[in-house]
Amino acid sequence: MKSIIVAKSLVKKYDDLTAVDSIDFEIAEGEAFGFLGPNGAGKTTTMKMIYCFVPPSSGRLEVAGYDVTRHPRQIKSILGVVPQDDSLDPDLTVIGNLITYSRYYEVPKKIALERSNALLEMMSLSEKRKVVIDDLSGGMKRRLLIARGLINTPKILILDEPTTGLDPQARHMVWSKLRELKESGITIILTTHYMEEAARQCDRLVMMNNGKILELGAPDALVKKHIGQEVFEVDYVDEELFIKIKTALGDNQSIEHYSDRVYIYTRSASETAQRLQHLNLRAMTERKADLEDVFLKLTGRTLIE
Amino acid sequence: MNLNPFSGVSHRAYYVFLRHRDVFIKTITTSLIPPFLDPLFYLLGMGYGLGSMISPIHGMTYVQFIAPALVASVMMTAPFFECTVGTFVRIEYQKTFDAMISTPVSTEDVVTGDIMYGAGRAMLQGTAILIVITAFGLVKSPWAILIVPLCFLLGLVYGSMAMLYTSFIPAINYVDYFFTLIMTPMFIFAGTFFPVAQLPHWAQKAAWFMPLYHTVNITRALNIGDIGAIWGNMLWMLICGLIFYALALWRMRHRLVK
Repeated sequence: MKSIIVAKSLVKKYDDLTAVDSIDFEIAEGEAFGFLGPNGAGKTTTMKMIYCFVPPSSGRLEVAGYDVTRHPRQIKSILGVVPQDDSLDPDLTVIGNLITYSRYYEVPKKIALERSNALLEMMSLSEKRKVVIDDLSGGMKRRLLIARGLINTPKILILDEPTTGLDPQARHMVWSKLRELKESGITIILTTHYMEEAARQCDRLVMMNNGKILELGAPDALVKKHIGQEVFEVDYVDEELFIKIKTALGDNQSIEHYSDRVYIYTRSASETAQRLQHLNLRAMTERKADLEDVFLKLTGRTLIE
Repeated sequence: MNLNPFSGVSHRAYYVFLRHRDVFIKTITTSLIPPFLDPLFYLLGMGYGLGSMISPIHGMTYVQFIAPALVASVMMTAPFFECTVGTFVRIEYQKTFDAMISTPVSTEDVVTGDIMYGAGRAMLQGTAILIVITAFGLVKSPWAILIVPLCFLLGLVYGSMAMLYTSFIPAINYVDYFFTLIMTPMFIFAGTFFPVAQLPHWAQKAAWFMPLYHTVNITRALNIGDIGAIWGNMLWMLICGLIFYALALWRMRHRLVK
Protein backbone atom coordinates (compact mmCIF):
# COMPACT_ATOMS: atom_id res chain seq x y z
CA MET A 1 0.00 0.00 0.00
CA LYS A 2 1.98 2.94 -1.28
CA SER A 3 1.09 6.31 0.25
CA ILE A 4 0.41 9.07 -2.21
CA ILE A 5 -0.48 11.69 0.40
CA VAL A 6 1.17 12.02 3.79
CA ALA A 7 0.18 14.47 6.51
CA LYS A 8 1.93 14.80 9.86
CA SER A 9 0.93 17.24 12.60
CA LEU A 10 -0.81 19.35 9.99
CA VAL A 11 -2.13 22.64 11.34
CA LYS A 12 -4.04 25.55 9.82
CA LYS A 13 -4.69 28.57 12.00
CA TYR A 14 -6.48 31.73 11.04
CA ASP A 15 -6.47 34.90 13.15
CA ASP A 16 -9.15 33.86 15.56
CA LEU A 17 -9.61 30.17 14.96
CA THR A 18 -7.77 26.92 14.45
CA ALA A 19 -9.43 25.25 11.51
CA VAL A 20 -7.17 22.20 11.41
CA ASP A 21 -5.69 21.20 14.74
CA SER A 22 -2.66 18.95 14.16
CA ILE A 23 -3.89 15.99 12.15
CA ASP A 24 -2.09 12.93 10.78
CA PHE A 25 -3.17 10.71 7.94
CA GLU A 26 -1.85 8.77 4.98
CA ILE A 27 -3.75 8.08 1.80
CA ALA A 28 -2.80 5.10 -0.36
CA GLU A 29 -2.50 5.30 -4.11
CA GLY A 30 -5.66 4.07 -5.80
CA GLU A 31 -7.92 4.07 -2.78
CA ALA A 32 -11.11 6.01 -2.19
CA PHE A 33 -10.54 8.02 0.95
CA GLY A 34 -13.08 10.13 2.79
CA PHE A 35 -13.13 13.00 5.23
CA LEU A 36 -16.38 12.74 7.12
CA GLY A 37 -17.55 15.43 9.50
CA PRO A 38 -20.06 18.23 10.05
CA ASN A 39 -19.77 21.71 8.59
CA GLY A 40 -16.86 23.54 10.13
CA ALA A 41 -14.93 20.37 10.97
CA GLY A 42 -11.91 21.39 8.92
CA LYS A 43 -12.46 19.07 5.96
CA THR A 44 -12.51 21.75 3.27
CA THR A 45 -9.51 23.50 4.78
CA THR A 46 -7.60 20.23 4.71
CA MET A 47 -8.53 19.75 1.04
CA LYS A 48 -7.37 23.27 0.26
CA MET A 49 -4.01 22.54 1.79
CA ILE A 50 -3.68 19.36 -0.26
CA TYR A 51 -4.35 21.16 -3.53
CA CYS A 52 -2.08 24.01 -2.45
CA PHE A 53 -4.82 26.59 -2.33
CA VAL A 54 -3.91 27.69 1.19
CA PRO A 55 -0.53 27.17 2.84
CA PRO A 56 -0.36 25.11 6.05
CA SER A 57 0.45 26.98 9.26
CA SER A 58 2.73 24.17 10.37
CA GLY A 59 3.31 20.46 9.98
CA ARG A 60 4.19 18.30 7.02
CA LEU A 61 2.06 17.65 3.95
CA GLU A 62 3.33 15.80 0.92
CA VAL A 63 1.51 14.86 -2.24
CA ALA A 64 3.16 12.28 -4.51
CA GLY A 65 6.41 12.99 -2.74
CA TYR A 66 6.23 16.76 -3.26
CA ASP A 67 6.05 19.23 -0.38
CA VAL A 68 2.99 21.47 -0.74
CA THR A 69 4.90 24.57 0.27
CA ARG A 70 7.76 24.02 -2.15
CA HIS A 71 6.32 22.40 -5.29
CA PRO A 72 2.71 23.51 -5.70
CA ARG A 73 2.79 23.53 -9.50
CA GLN A 74 3.94 19.93 -9.75
CA ILE A 75 1.27 18.85 -7.30
CA LYS A 76 -1.49 20.80 -9.01
CA SER A 77 -0.60 19.32 -12.38
CA ILE A 78 -1.40 15.78 -11.20
CA LEU A 79 -4.50 16.74 -9.21
CA GLY A 80 -8.04 17.26 -10.31
CA VAL A 81 -10.18 19.46 -8.10
CA VAL A 82 -13.97 19.48 -7.87
CA PRO A 83 -14.71 22.32 -5.46
CA GLN A 84 -17.72 22.81 -3.25
CA ASP A 85 -18.61 26.17 -4.79
CA ASP A 86 -19.67 26.60 -8.35
CA SER A 87 -16.60 28.15 -9.89
CA LEU A 88 -17.65 27.60 -13.45
CA ASP A 89 -17.13 30.46 -15.86
CA PRO A 90 -20.58 32.01 -16.26
CA ASP A 91 -19.72 33.77 -19.50
CA LEU A 92 -18.59 30.65 -21.34
CA THR A 93 -20.43 27.61 -22.67
CA VAL A 94 -20.09 24.08 -21.29
CA ILE A 95 -17.44 23.13 -23.86
CA GLY A 96 -15.85 26.57 -23.50
CA ASN A 97 -15.35 26.00 -19.80
CA LEU A 98 -13.56 22.72 -20.44
CA ILE A 99 -11.31 24.06 -23.20
CA THR A 100 -10.35 27.17 -21.22
CA TYR A 101 -9.58 25.07 -18.16
CA SER A 102 -7.48 22.65 -20.20
CA ARG A 103 -5.25 25.55 -21.21
CA TYR A 104 -4.20 26.14 -17.62
CA TYR A 105 -2.79 22.60 -17.67
CA GLU A 106 -1.18 23.18 -21.08
CA VAL A 107 -3.12 20.31 -22.63
CA PRO A 108 -2.58 20.57 -26.41
CA LYS A 109 -5.65 21.94 -28.18
CA LYS A 110 -6.54 18.87 -30.20
CA ILE A 111 -6.23 16.52 -27.25
CA ALA A 112 -8.21 18.95 -25.10
CA LEU A 113 -11.05 18.90 -27.58
CA GLU A 114 -11.10 15.09 -27.78
CA ARG A 115 -10.89 14.74 -24.05
CA SER A 116 -13.59 17.35 -23.43
CA ASN A 117 -15.98 15.58 -25.75
CA ALA A 118 -15.23 12.24 -24.11
CA LEU A 119 -15.77 13.72 -20.64
CA LEU A 120 -19.06 15.31 -21.64
CA GLU A 121 -20.13 11.93 -22.97
CA MET A 122 -19.08 10.26 -19.73
CA MET A 123 -21.05 12.75 -17.66
CA SER A 124 -24.08 12.64 -19.94
CA LEU A 125 -23.69 16.28 -20.87
CA SER A 126 -22.99 15.95 -24.59
CA GLU A 127 -26.32 17.52 -25.49
CA LYS A 128 -25.48 20.59 -23.44
CA ARG A 129 -22.19 21.19 -25.18
CA LYS A 130 -22.96 24.66 -26.46
CA VAL A 131 -25.22 25.73 -23.63
CA VAL A 132 -24.35 28.71 -21.45
CA ILE A 133 -23.71 27.78 -17.81
CA ASP A 134 -26.66 29.74 -16.44
CA ASP A 135 -29.07 27.42 -18.22
CA LEU A 136 -27.83 24.29 -16.46
CA SER A 137 -29.47 22.68 -13.45
CA GLY A 138 -27.57 22.19 -10.19
CA GLY A 139 -26.98 18.53 -10.94
CA MET A 140 -25.64 19.28 -14.41
CA LYS A 141 -23.31 21.95 -13.07
CA ARG A 142 -21.94 19.49 -10.57
CA ARG A 143 -21.37 16.91 -13.28
CA LEU A 144 -19.63 19.55 -15.37
CA LEU A 145 -17.43 20.41 -12.40
CA ILE A 146 -16.45 16.76 -12.16
CA ALA A 147 -15.75 16.63 -15.90
CA ARG A 148 -13.63 19.74 -15.54
CA GLY A 149 -11.74 18.18 -12.66
CA LEU A 150 -10.71 15.35 -14.98
CA ILE A 151 -9.53 17.44 -17.92
CA ASN A 152 -5.88 16.90 -17.11
CA THR A 153 -6.33 13.13 -16.50
CA PRO A 154 -5.27 13.51 -12.88
CA LYS A 155 -3.79 10.81 -10.69
CA ILE A 156 -5.74 12.12 -7.73
CA LEU A 157 -9.25 13.54 -7.83
CA ILE A 158 -10.35 15.70 -4.92
CA LEU A 159 -14.07 16.31 -4.44
CA ASP A 160 -15.30 18.68 -1.78
CA GLU A 161 -18.89 17.83 -0.82
CA PRO A 162 -19.66 16.42 -4.27
CA THR A 163 -23.34 15.69 -3.77
CA THR A 164 -24.47 18.41 -1.38
CA GLY A 165 -27.59 20.05 -2.70
CA LEU A 166 -28.27 17.39 -5.33
CA ASP A 167 -31.49 15.44 -5.63
CA PRO A 168 -31.27 11.66 -4.97
CA GLN A 169 -31.17 10.77 -8.65
CA ALA A 170 -28.28 13.11 -9.38
CA ARG A 171 -26.54 11.91 -6.24
CA HIS A 172 -26.66 8.28 -7.32
CA MET A 173 -25.38 9.19 -10.73
CA VAL A 174 -22.37 10.96 -9.24
CA TRP A 175 -21.73 8.00 -6.95
CA SER A 176 -21.66 5.50 -9.79
CA LYS A 177 -19.36 7.77 -11.81
CA LEU A 178 -16.99 7.97 -8.88
CA ARG A 179 -16.94 4.22 -8.59
CA GLU A 180 -16.09 3.95 -12.29
CA LEU A 181 -13.27 6.43 -11.86
CA LYS A 182 -11.85 4.61 -8.89
CA GLU A 183 -11.87 1.38 -10.85
CA SER A 184 -9.80 3.07 -13.54
CA GLY A 185 -7.05 3.60 -10.99
CA ILE A 186 -7.52 7.21 -9.89
CA THR A 187 -7.10 7.96 -6.20
CA ILE A 188 -10.35 9.51 -5.00
CA ILE A 189 -10.48 11.86 -2.03
CA LEU A 190 -13.79 13.26 -0.96
CA THR A 191 -15.21 15.25 1.89
CA THR A 192 -18.78 14.89 3.01
CA HIS A 193 -21.17 15.24 5.89
CA TYR A 194 -23.36 12.46 4.54
CA MET A 195 -22.74 9.22 6.37
CA GLU A 196 -24.20 7.14 3.58
CA GLU A 197 -21.88 8.67 1.01
CA ALA A 198 -18.83 8.00 3.15
CA ALA A 199 -19.89 4.45 3.91
CA ARG A 200 -20.68 3.58 0.31
CA GLN A 201 -17.87 5.31 -1.53
CA CYS A 202 -14.84 5.09 0.73
CA ASP A 203 -12.37 2.31 1.34
CA ARG A 204 -11.16 4.19 4.38
CA LEU A 205 -12.09 7.44 6.01
CA VAL A 206 -11.29 9.84 8.79
CA MET A 207 -13.92 11.33 11.04
CA MET A 208 -13.29 14.99 11.78
CA ASN A 209 -14.75 17.40 14.29
CA ASN A 210 -13.50 20.82 15.36
CA GLY A 211 -10.33 20.48 13.36
CA LYS A 212 -9.31 17.18 14.87
CA ILE A 213 -9.36 13.61 13.61
CA LEU A 214 -11.41 11.38 15.87
CA GLU A 215 -10.99 8.10 14.05
CA LEU A 216 -9.42 6.61 10.97
CA GLY A 217 -10.30 3.35 9.30
CA ALA A 218 -12.60 1.41 7.01
CA PRO A 219 -16.31 2.28 7.48
CA ASP A 220 -17.38 -1.23 8.53
CA ALA A 221 -14.47 -1.63 10.89
CA LEU A 222 -15.23 1.64 12.65
CA VAL A 223 -18.86 0.77 13.10
CA LYS A 224 -18.00 -2.62 14.50
CA LYS A 225 -15.35 -1.23 16.80
CA HIS A 226 -17.49 1.45 18.40
CA ILE A 227 -21.07 0.33 18.15
CA GLY A 228 -21.58 -3.31 17.38
CA GLN A 229 -24.04 -4.57 14.85
CA GLU A 230 -27.47 -3.05 15.26
CA VAL A 231 -29.30 -0.13 16.74
CA PHE A 232 -32.67 0.01 18.37
CA GLU A 233 -34.07 3.55 18.26
CA VAL A 234 -36.91 4.93 20.32
CA ASP A 235 -38.40 8.37 19.75
CA TYR A 236 -40.22 10.78 22.07
CA VAL A 237 -38.36 9.66 25.15
CA ASP A 238 -38.36 11.98 28.13
CA GLU A 239 -36.19 11.60 31.23
CA GLU A 240 -38.72 9.45 33.03
CA LEU A 241 -39.08 6.98 30.21
CA PHE A 242 -35.33 6.94 29.68
CA ILE A 243 -34.78 5.80 33.26
CA LYS A 244 -37.37 3.05 32.82
CA ILE A 245 -35.57 1.83 29.69
CA LYS A 246 -32.19 1.85 31.39
CA THR A 247 -33.56 -0.08 34.32
CA ALA A 248 -35.10 -2.66 32.02
CA LEU A 249 -31.90 -3.25 30.09
CA GLY A 250 -29.39 -3.17 32.91
CA ASP A 251 -26.07 -1.42 33.42
CA ASN A 252 -24.09 -3.23 30.75
CA GLN A 253 -26.19 -1.87 27.95
CA SER A 254 -24.73 0.78 25.69
CA ILE A 255 -27.23 3.61 25.34
CA GLU A 256 -27.14 7.17 24.02
CA HIS A 257 -29.83 9.73 24.75
CA TYR A 258 -29.80 12.60 22.24
CA SER A 259 -32.65 15.12 21.88
CA ASP A 260 -35.84 13.07 22.23
CA ARG A 261 -34.32 9.96 20.86
CA VAL A 262 -32.69 6.96 22.51
CA TYR A 263 -30.16 4.81 20.70
CA ILE A 264 -29.57 1.35 22.05
CA TYR A 265 -26.51 -0.38 20.61
CA THR A 266 -26.88 -4.09 20.54
CA ARG A 267 -26.07 -7.29 18.76
CA SER A 268 -29.70 -7.91 17.97
CA ALA A 269 -32.25 -5.13 17.84
CA SER A 270 -35.18 -7.51 17.88
CA GLU A 271 -33.87 -9.05 21.09
CA THR A 272 -33.80 -5.60 22.67
CA ALA A 273 -37.31 -4.98 21.44
CA GLN A 274 -38.46 -8.06 23.26
CA ARG A 275 -36.87 -6.99 26.52
CA LEU A 276 -38.62 -3.62 26.33
CA GLN A 277 -42.00 -4.98 25.31
CA HIS A 278 -43.57 -4.31 28.69
CA LEU A 279 -42.99 -0.57 28.34
CA ASN A 280 -45.33 -0.30 25.34
CA LEU A 281 -43.03 2.01 23.50
CA ARG A 282 -44.03 3.92 20.45
CA ALA A 283 -42.00 5.14 17.45
CA MET A 284 -39.39 2.40 17.42
CA THR A 285 -36.91 1.53 14.70
CA GLU A 286 -34.66 -1.47 14.32
CA ARG A 287 -31.73 -0.95 11.99
CA LYS A 288 -28.10 -1.69 11.28
CA ALA A 289 -25.51 0.46 13.02
CA ASP A 290 -23.81 3.08 10.84
CA LEU A 291 -21.20 5.83 10.89
CA GLU A 292 -23.67 8.38 12.17
CA ASP A 293 -23.87 6.34 15.37
CA VAL A 294 -20.09 6.26 15.64
CA PHE A 295 -19.96 10.02 15.26
CA LEU A 296 -22.68 10.54 17.81
CA LYS A 297 -20.88 8.30 20.27
CA LEU A 298 -17.54 10.04 19.77
CA THR A 299 -18.76 13.62 19.83
CA GLY A 300 -22.21 13.75 21.36
CA ARG A 301 -23.59 15.44 18.26
CA THR A 302 -24.88 14.47 14.83
CA LEU A 303 -23.22 14.99 11.46
CA ILE A 304 -26.01 17.23 10.19
CA GLU A 305 -27.35 19.88 12.51
CA MET B 1 13.06 35.24 2.02
CA ASN B 2 12.59 35.57 -1.71
CA LEU B 3 14.12 38.79 -2.96
CA ASN B 4 12.71 38.59 -6.46
CA PRO B 5 9.60 40.80 -6.52
CA PHE B 6 8.39 39.06 -9.66
CA SER B 7 8.73 35.48 -8.44
CA GLY B 8 5.74 33.28 -9.06
CA VAL B 9 5.00 34.81 -12.45
CA SER B 10 5.24 32.42 -15.37
CA HIS B 11 4.22 32.09 -18.99
CA ARG B 12 0.90 30.75 -17.72
CA ALA B 13 -0.23 34.35 -17.30
CA TYR B 14 -0.89 34.15 -21.03
CA TYR B 15 -3.50 31.40 -20.48
CA VAL B 16 -5.31 33.69 -18.06
CA PHE B 17 -5.20 36.37 -20.74
CA LEU B 18 -6.65 33.92 -23.27
CA ARG B 19 -9.56 33.10 -20.99
CA HIS B 20 -10.38 36.82 -20.67
CA ARG B 21 -10.10 37.15 -24.42
CA ASP B 22 -12.59 34.30 -24.90
CA VAL B 23 -15.08 35.97 -22.59
CA PHE B 24 -14.54 39.27 -24.38
CA ILE B 25 -15.40 37.67 -27.71
CA LYS B 26 -18.49 36.03 -26.21
CA THR B 27 -19.73 39.32 -24.81
CA ILE B 28 -18.46 41.47 -27.64
CA THR B 29 -21.62 43.43 -28.23
CA THR B 30 -21.47 45.01 -24.81
CA SER B 31 -17.73 45.03 -24.35
CA LEU B 32 -16.61 46.64 -27.59
CA ILE B 33 -18.79 49.60 -28.48
CA PRO B 34 -19.59 51.66 -25.34
CA PRO B 35 -16.02 52.37 -24.12
CA PHE B 36 -15.06 53.44 -27.60
CA LEU B 37 -17.76 56.08 -27.81
CA ASP B 38 -16.62 58.16 -24.85
CA PRO B 39 -13.47 59.68 -26.38
CA LEU B 40 -15.35 60.13 -29.65
CA PHE B 41 -17.84 62.41 -27.93
CA TYR B 42 -15.04 64.40 -26.31
CA LEU B 43 -13.40 64.79 -29.70
CA LEU B 44 -16.55 66.09 -31.32
CA GLY B 45 -17.86 68.18 -28.43
CA MET B 46 -14.70 69.63 -27.00
CA GLY B 47 -12.50 69.37 -30.05
CA TYR B 48 -14.76 70.85 -32.66
CA GLY B 49 -17.40 72.47 -30.52
CA LEU B 50 -15.32 74.19 -27.89
CA GLY B 51 -12.27 74.25 -30.11
CA SER B 52 -13.91 76.63 -32.54
CA MET B 53 -13.64 79.31 -29.84
CA ILE B 54 -10.05 78.66 -28.82
CA SER B 55 -6.93 80.10 -30.42
CA PRO B 56 -4.11 77.80 -31.59
CA ILE B 57 -1.94 76.13 -28.96
CA HIS B 58 1.70 75.57 -29.84
CA GLY B 59 0.82 76.15 -33.47
CA MET B 60 -1.95 73.51 -33.48
CA THR B 61 -5.70 73.91 -33.64
CA TYR B 62 -7.49 72.91 -30.45
CA VAL B 63 -8.85 69.70 -31.89
CA GLN B 64 -5.36 68.76 -33.08
CA PHE B 65 -4.09 69.49 -29.59
CA ILE B 66 -6.51 67.23 -27.77
CA ALA B 67 -6.84 64.40 -30.31
CA PRO B 68 -3.65 62.47 -29.42
CA ALA B 69 -4.33 63.18 -25.74
CA LEU B 70 -7.67 61.45 -26.04
CA VAL B 71 -5.90 58.40 -27.44
CA ALA B 72 -3.61 58.53 -24.42
CA SER B 73 -6.56 58.82 -22.05
CA VAL B 74 -7.96 55.55 -23.33
CA MET B 75 -4.68 53.84 -22.42
CA MET B 76 -5.57 54.86 -18.88
CA THR B 77 -9.30 54.32 -18.63
CA ALA B 78 -9.53 50.85 -20.17
CA PRO B 79 -7.04 49.13 -17.82
CA PHE B 80 -8.29 51.23 -14.89
CA PHE B 81 -11.73 49.82 -15.32
CA GLU B 82 -10.71 46.28 -16.17
CA CYS B 83 -8.25 45.86 -13.32
CA THR B 84 -10.58 47.25 -10.68
CA VAL B 85 -14.16 46.25 -11.43
CA GLY B 86 -13.26 43.33 -13.68
CA THR B 87 -10.72 41.84 -11.32
CA PHE B 88 -12.84 42.38 -8.21
CA VAL B 89 -15.88 40.69 -9.72
CA ARG B 90 -13.80 37.69 -10.76
CA ILE B 91 -12.32 37.32 -7.30
CA GLU B 92 -15.27 37.98 -5.08
CA TYR B 93 -18.37 36.97 -6.96
CA GLN B 94 -17.54 34.57 -9.72
CA LYS B 95 -14.91 32.45 -8.01
CA THR B 96 -13.16 32.42 -11.35
CA PHE B 97 -9.95 33.11 -9.54
CA ASP B 98 -10.48 30.11 -7.25
CA ALA B 99 -10.90 27.86 -10.26
CA MET B 100 -7.68 29.09 -11.84
CA ILE B 101 -5.61 28.74 -8.69
CA SER B 102 -6.62 25.08 -8.38
CA THR B 103 -4.55 24.47 -11.51
CA PRO B 104 -0.81 25.05 -12.04
CA VAL B 105 -1.62 28.73 -12.61
CA SER B 106 -0.36 30.82 -9.68
CA THR B 107 -1.77 33.91 -8.03
CA GLU B 108 0.95 35.94 -9.71
CA ASP B 109 0.00 34.48 -13.09
CA VAL B 110 -3.60 35.55 -12.59
CA VAL B 111 -2.63 39.09 -11.57
CA THR B 112 -0.34 39.37 -14.57
CA GLY B 113 -2.94 37.91 -16.93
CA ASP B 114 -5.50 40.44 -15.70
CA ILE B 115 -3.07 43.31 -16.24
CA MET B 116 -2.26 42.01 -19.72
CA TYR B 117 -5.93 41.90 -20.54
CA GLY B 118 -6.40 45.49 -19.35
CA ALA B 119 -3.51 46.46 -21.63
CA GLY B 120 -5.10 44.51 -24.46
CA ARG B 121 -8.31 46.46 -24.04
CA ALA B 122 -6.26 49.67 -24.05
CA MET B 123 -4.71 48.62 -27.34
CA LEU B 124 -8.04 47.78 -28.90
CA GLN B 125 -9.73 50.99 -27.87
CA GLY B 126 -6.67 53.14 -28.42
CA THR B 127 -6.31 51.83 -31.96
CA ALA B 128 -9.98 52.50 -32.62
CA ILE B 129 -9.65 56.13 -31.55
CA LEU B 130 -6.43 56.46 -33.50
CA ILE B 131 -8.25 55.31 -36.63
CA VAL B 132 -11.00 57.84 -35.97
CA ILE B 133 -8.65 60.80 -35.53
CA THR B 134 -6.71 59.72 -38.60
CA ALA B 135 -9.96 59.78 -40.53
CA PHE B 136 -10.50 63.32 -39.29
CA GLY B 137 -7.09 64.25 -40.67
CA LEU B 138 -5.62 64.99 -37.28
CA VAL B 139 -2.59 62.70 -37.52
CA LYS B 140 0.45 64.45 -38.92
CA SER B 141 3.12 61.76 -39.05
CA PRO B 142 3.46 58.06 -39.93
CA TRP B 143 5.33 57.61 -36.61
CA ALA B 144 1.92 57.74 -34.99
CA ILE B 145 1.55 54.06 -35.88
CA LEU B 146 3.86 53.31 -32.96
CA ILE B 147 1.02 54.40 -30.71
CA VAL B 148 -0.63 51.03 -31.37
CA PRO B 149 1.95 48.81 -29.63
CA LEU B 150 2.53 51.55 -27.07
CA CYS B 151 -1.12 51.32 -26.09
CA PHE B 152 -0.37 47.81 -24.85
CA LEU B 153 2.96 48.59 -23.19
CA LEU B 154 1.77 51.72 -21.44
CA GLY B 155 -1.55 50.03 -20.66
CA LEU B 156 0.43 47.56 -18.54
CA VAL B 157 1.51 50.45 -16.32
CA TYR B 158 -2.05 51.64 -15.74
CA GLY B 159 -3.24 48.07 -15.20
CA SER B 160 -0.63 47.61 -12.50
CA MET B 161 -1.71 50.81 -10.76
CA ALA B 162 -5.33 49.75 -10.79
CA MET B 163 -4.45 46.25 -9.60
CA LEU B 164 -2.58 47.71 -6.64
CA TYR B 165 -5.65 49.70 -5.68
CA THR B 166 -7.88 46.66 -6.03
CA SER B 167 -5.64 44.71 -3.66
CA PHE B 168 -6.70 47.02 -0.84
CA ILE B 169 -10.44 47.42 -1.21
CA PRO B 170 -12.93 45.40 0.87
CA ALA B 171 -16.01 45.99 -1.29
CA ILE B 172 -16.73 46.89 -4.86
CA ASN B 173 -18.18 50.34 -4.18
CA TYR B 174 -14.71 51.53 -3.13
CA VAL B 175 -13.84 51.44 -6.79
CA ASP B 176 -15.66 54.76 -7.15
CA TYR B 177 -12.99 56.51 -5.12
CA PHE B 178 -10.39 55.38 -7.62
CA PHE B 179 -12.32 56.85 -10.52
CA THR B 180 -13.15 60.17 -8.89
CA LEU B 181 -9.94 60.81 -6.96
CA ILE B 182 -7.33 59.37 -9.26
CA MET B 183 -8.65 58.87 -12.76
CA THR B 184 -10.68 62.03 -13.25
CA PRO B 185 -8.10 64.50 -11.88
CA MET B 186 -5.49 62.95 -14.16
CA PHE B 187 -7.85 63.10 -17.08
CA ILE B 188 -8.43 66.82 -16.57
CA PHE B 189 -5.09 68.13 -15.33
CA ALA B 190 -2.41 66.08 -17.07
CA GLY B 191 -2.26 68.27 -20.16
CA THR B 192 -5.11 66.65 -22.07
CA PHE B 193 -7.41 69.63 -22.53
CA PHE B 194 -4.99 72.47 -21.87
CA PRO B 195 -1.22 72.71 -21.55
CA VAL B 196 0.11 72.02 -18.08
CA ALA B 197 1.85 75.39 -18.24
CA GLN B 198 -1.54 77.01 -17.59
CA LEU B 199 -1.60 75.55 -14.09
CA PRO B 200 -0.08 77.23 -11.02
CA HIS B 201 3.53 76.33 -10.40
CA TRP B 202 2.95 73.78 -7.68
CA ALA B 203 0.34 72.03 -9.84
CA GLN B 204 2.75 71.85 -12.74
CA LYS B 205 5.23 70.07 -10.50
CA ALA B 206 2.48 67.71 -9.33
CA ALA B 207 1.53 66.92 -12.92
CA TRP B 208 4.99 65.49 -13.51
CA PHE B 209 4.05 62.66 -11.14
CA MET B 210 1.02 61.70 -13.19
CA PRO B 211 1.50 58.81 -15.63
CA LEU B 212 -1.03 60.38 -17.98
CA TYR B 213 1.11 63.50 -18.26
CA HIS B 214 3.94 61.45 -19.71
CA THR B 215 1.64 59.33 -21.85
CA VAL B 216 0.07 62.45 -23.38
CA ASN B 217 3.53 63.86 -24.13
CA ILE B 218 4.42 60.63 -25.88
CA THR B 219 1.32 60.49 -28.05
CA ARG B 220 1.49 64.18 -28.93
CA ALA B 221 5.12 63.84 -29.93
CA LEU B 222 4.49 60.74 -32.05
CA ASN B 223 1.53 62.41 -33.67
CA ILE B 224 3.74 65.10 -35.15
CA GLY B 225 6.68 62.75 -35.71
CA ASP B 226 8.95 64.11 -32.95
CA ILE B 227 10.57 60.76 -32.03
CA GLY B 228 13.39 62.31 -30.04
CA ALA B 229 11.03 63.84 -27.50
CA ILE B 230 9.53 60.64 -26.15
CA TRP B 231 12.42 58.85 -24.44
CA GLY B 232 12.46 60.67 -21.12
CA ASN B 233 8.72 60.08 -20.78
CA MET B 234 9.12 56.43 -21.81
CA LEU B 235 11.77 55.87 -19.16
CA TRP B 236 9.51 57.47 -16.56
CA MET B 237 6.67 55.14 -17.56
CA LEU B 238 8.95 52.10 -17.49
CA ILE B 239 10.17 52.74 -13.97
CA CYS B 240 6.67 53.64 -12.79
CA GLY B 241 5.35 50.43 -14.34
CA LEU B 242 7.95 48.16 -12.77
CA ILE B 243 7.36 49.63 -9.34
CA PHE B 244 3.59 49.36 -9.51
CA TYR B 245 3.74 45.87 -10.98
CA ALA B 246 5.98 44.61 -8.18
CA LEU B 247 3.77 46.27 -5.56
CA ALA B 248 0.60 44.89 -7.15
CA LEU B 249 2.00 41.34 -7.15
CA TRP B 250 3.08 41.65 -3.54
CA ARG B 251 -0.19 43.07 -2.30
CA MET B 252 -2.44 40.73 -4.28
CA ARG B 253 -0.44 37.74 -3.09
CA HIS B 254 -0.97 39.02 0.42
CA ARG B 255 -4.67 39.48 -0.14
CA LEU B 256 -5.45 36.22 -1.88
CA VAL B 257 -3.19 33.65 -0.26
CA LYS B 258 -4.24 33.27 3.34
